[in-house]
Amino acid sequence: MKKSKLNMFFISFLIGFMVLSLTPDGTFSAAQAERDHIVVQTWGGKLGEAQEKAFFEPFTKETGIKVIGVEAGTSVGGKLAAMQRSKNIEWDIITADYESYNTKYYNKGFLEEVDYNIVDNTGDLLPSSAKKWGVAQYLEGICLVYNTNSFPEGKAPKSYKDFFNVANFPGPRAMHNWGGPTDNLSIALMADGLTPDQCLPLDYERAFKVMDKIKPHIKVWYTSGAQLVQALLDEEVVMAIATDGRAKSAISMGAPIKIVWNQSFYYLGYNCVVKGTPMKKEAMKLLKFCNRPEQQAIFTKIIGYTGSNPKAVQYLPVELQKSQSTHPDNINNVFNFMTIKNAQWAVDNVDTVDEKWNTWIAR
Amino acid sequence: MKLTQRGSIRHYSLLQSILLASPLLVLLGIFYLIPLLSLFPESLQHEGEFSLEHYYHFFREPLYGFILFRTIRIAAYVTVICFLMGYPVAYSMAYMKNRKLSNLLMICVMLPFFTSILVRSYAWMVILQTKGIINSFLISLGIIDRPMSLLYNEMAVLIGMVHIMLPFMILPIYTVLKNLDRNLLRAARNLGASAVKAFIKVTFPLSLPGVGSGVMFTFILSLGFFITPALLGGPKTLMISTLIEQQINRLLNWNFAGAISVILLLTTIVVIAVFDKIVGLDKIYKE
Repeated sequence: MKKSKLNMFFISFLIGFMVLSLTPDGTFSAAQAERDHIVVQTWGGKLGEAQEKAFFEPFTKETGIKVIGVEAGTSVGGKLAAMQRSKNIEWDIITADYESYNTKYYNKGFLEEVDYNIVDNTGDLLPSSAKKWGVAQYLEGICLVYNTNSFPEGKAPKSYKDFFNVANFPGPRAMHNWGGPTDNLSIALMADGLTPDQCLPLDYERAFKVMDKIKPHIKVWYTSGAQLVQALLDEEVVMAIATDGRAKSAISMGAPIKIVWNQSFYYLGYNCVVKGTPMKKEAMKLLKFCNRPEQQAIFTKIIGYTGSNPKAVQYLPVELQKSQSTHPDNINNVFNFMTIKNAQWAVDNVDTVDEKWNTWIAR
Repeated sequence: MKLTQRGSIRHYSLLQSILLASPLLVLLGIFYLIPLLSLFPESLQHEGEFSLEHYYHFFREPLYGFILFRTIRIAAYVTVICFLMGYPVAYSMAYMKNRKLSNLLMICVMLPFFTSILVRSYAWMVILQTKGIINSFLISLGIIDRPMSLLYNEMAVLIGMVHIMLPFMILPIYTVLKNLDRNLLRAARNLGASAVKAFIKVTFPLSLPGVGSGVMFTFILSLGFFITPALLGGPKTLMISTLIEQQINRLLNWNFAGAISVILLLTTIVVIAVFDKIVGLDKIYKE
């Protein structure tokens, strides 16, 4: 009897422990009012590694200010809000979020205004790189890629129209489902004959009508870059709307795919300074450092994403130069998605677009 | 509430019970109850003013009700599968003559808990993916000639969730079965009941308290599942916790996230109440 009671106690203890272990994020951090180093939120993985090597380490070498990169997963916004509420600023800089999210953060009072007296080297950057709430650091391109085994030379798709044409270009496809689907719906509208400047504000009915036709053929709705690369490597899909960085890394890993630059576009990823940071001045200096073309070239060599400073292309090995969207040959074929007509609409309507998209895709 | 002394078992007074439970109550109060209660006022704010807007929005947009219903359905599937798979395991663990073997089984049940959910979900991705273990095996045997899509659908989510939830079902059932008075079973057999009949008439009804807790654990934890559906599922397995996460982390609408959470909480309470009405939880727990 005694033994079984002990057993019972042991098991209920274990169950309690198991329930506790279910919380995904066990981090617990103490308040830090003052510190002598800059904490930068990164996206981890290879991207984080590229940021360390190209920017953080050389910055420390030059200025003596230590920089620590921390990975935040996908919970940047939530964490920022929590930091402001508790007045416990754990990060000084957030890196590479899109304009629509940064604008939201800024409007909520989570971000400092950039001090352009310190960050005085933005003249060479791409248009719309220098915002009041952040400075663009790299661009993430969205482009069409296709499998060269399925579509040999002469039969290859050339535009988004071909992506939606299942009769002439049969086979499973991939598209992203990681939030912010304004680009997907705009691509559908471009395939339907609109120019980029005509896409916004979105005509939902028309866009979803085009999407309805392709839905059964989208085999992979990827929610991470790694998932996209895997689908391209496994030849699980014959075509994909992909990010250029991931497409390039799939190619370098041996995937038989080609990028269609026609109609491709890019977003800028910005670095922003968190409101209330004790390291504001130092953070601004790091923002300035990130604009240097030679540092951006190191970044591109590691991760494949193009820097926001077109001059960085000169510092790249010749074989890499051609595949950058800021290369003189490509720069006129690609466009900045956040400078098309009515781009502000996309910033103002993220919630509604997300909701409509979820409603459509969940069924 | 029985506070009388009965037999040799000591019954504590209310004050004594509260004192004994106070460390846990304080902990739960600070880290669970207060945050939970603060959700309510949060969810009733819209642009700085008191408003039911977020609740209207939840019911006006078809997305949320649809996803809530799907979440309940998937949680129910997981619970039923866990019960069907877990009961036999718990039964054999409790009644196995070979102690060593039953200990080994116990270790097998517990072992997955020493690995994080994330790792286990990734392991399922490795197993189920297009060029994963199952597909390569079936192709090498010549059973199929093209890989099947096993990942990013409801089947994958169910497999992953059942794997994680199984111990929550097995352990409570095991504990109850282990402590059953075997004499009752012997009496039944003695009076001429077959093994099957003795199980149906004696063992199973007496194990219901364990089944009840197992079902509750599994169902409630499954309702709030986040990582596994996000990793193993696709658009057709979007669950309510993912929508809450989107509101919190990307859209920064904490008020609406609060409203969805409150509705999820109320739904859970209603489902438990219905379950209680049908099965009679209080009857189960009666001595």
